[in-house]
Amino acid sequence: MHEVALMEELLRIVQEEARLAGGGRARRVCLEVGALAGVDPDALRFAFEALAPERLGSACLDLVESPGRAWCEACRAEVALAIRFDPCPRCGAFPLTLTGGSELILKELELEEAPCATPADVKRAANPAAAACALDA
Amino acid sequence: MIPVERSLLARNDAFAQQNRARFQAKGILALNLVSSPGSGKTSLLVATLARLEHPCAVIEGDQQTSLDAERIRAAGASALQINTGKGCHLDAQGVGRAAERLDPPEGALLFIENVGNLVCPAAFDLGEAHKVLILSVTEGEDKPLKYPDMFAAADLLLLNKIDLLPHVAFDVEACLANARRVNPGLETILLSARTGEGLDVWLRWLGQRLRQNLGQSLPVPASV
Repeated sequence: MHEVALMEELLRIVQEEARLAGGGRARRVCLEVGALAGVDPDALRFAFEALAPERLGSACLDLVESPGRAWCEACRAEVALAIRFDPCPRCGAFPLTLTGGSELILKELELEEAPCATPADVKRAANPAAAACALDA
Repeated sequence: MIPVERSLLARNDAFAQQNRARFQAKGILALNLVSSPGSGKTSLLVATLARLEHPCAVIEGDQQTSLDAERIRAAGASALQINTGKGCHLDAQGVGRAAERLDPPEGALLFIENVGNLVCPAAFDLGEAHKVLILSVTEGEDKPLKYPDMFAAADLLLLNKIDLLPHVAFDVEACLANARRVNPGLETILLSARTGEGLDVWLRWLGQRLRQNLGQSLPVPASV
């Protein structure tokens, strides 16, 4: 359920990065979600569809899922981990040290080329922040 | 493509660190109380406040109503209610604002009663010294395996409503074994907020943490 709050934060960061980059509108948002991050990718996609149009226009979400990985001291090796608190799939030892899969990171952002602030653009922008972006450019 | 590499939790974590620094500067011990709805968090707090002779303040998180803050104020502590509305958890920025308004005295014990939810609050650091998880025996002993993130994040498990044990099919040993499986270092206390059984142990735990927090010997609460 906190996927909505996380999505609000993602959209805030995207708008901030877009402003820093000169005010272009986001076209594609690349988000890395670890398999052990405690969030549901489908719920994130749903939250993006519900919240993004108003704030980012027609931007699309590129959600990359990264697998769970952990270090097993007994095996002296990195192993794949499907569930966070599972024992080592090779030798049964636990607890393991998480080495990957808890990511929740905005990786990359693709902006529209040379945005132009025509009156129509400003009108289309659904909120003041987006309108400001278009005007800044 | 612009490379960004920004974590979605970084902003909350930064506010949490700010809270932690402020609490430490004032010697405030902040505890984040987490549980599923109906575990008896507020009743336990009321019972705790009635016996704890130490300056306390409470931040109450609920989706709606200020009923819990009113119960806490009636028990004699200062309390502030945060209504999360659509949100399912407290975040560090909201807690920071609430702590500023409450302004607990130096060396106080600050209880942050999170929204009843065993999923989302696990991901949001509030700047607390410890997460204290309350589980009641009317829930299942498999809860630690179903909601491992929260059990892994907690430092202390309070198993509440043990006065009901004769009436429910709840295997205490299995529950504790499940909890230790996801968190081998988890401390556990069995108690009943209603009858007061086990409250002494919980009050002693609080007394120890308060002393550690202030780095000096505090007068032990008279009732401990």
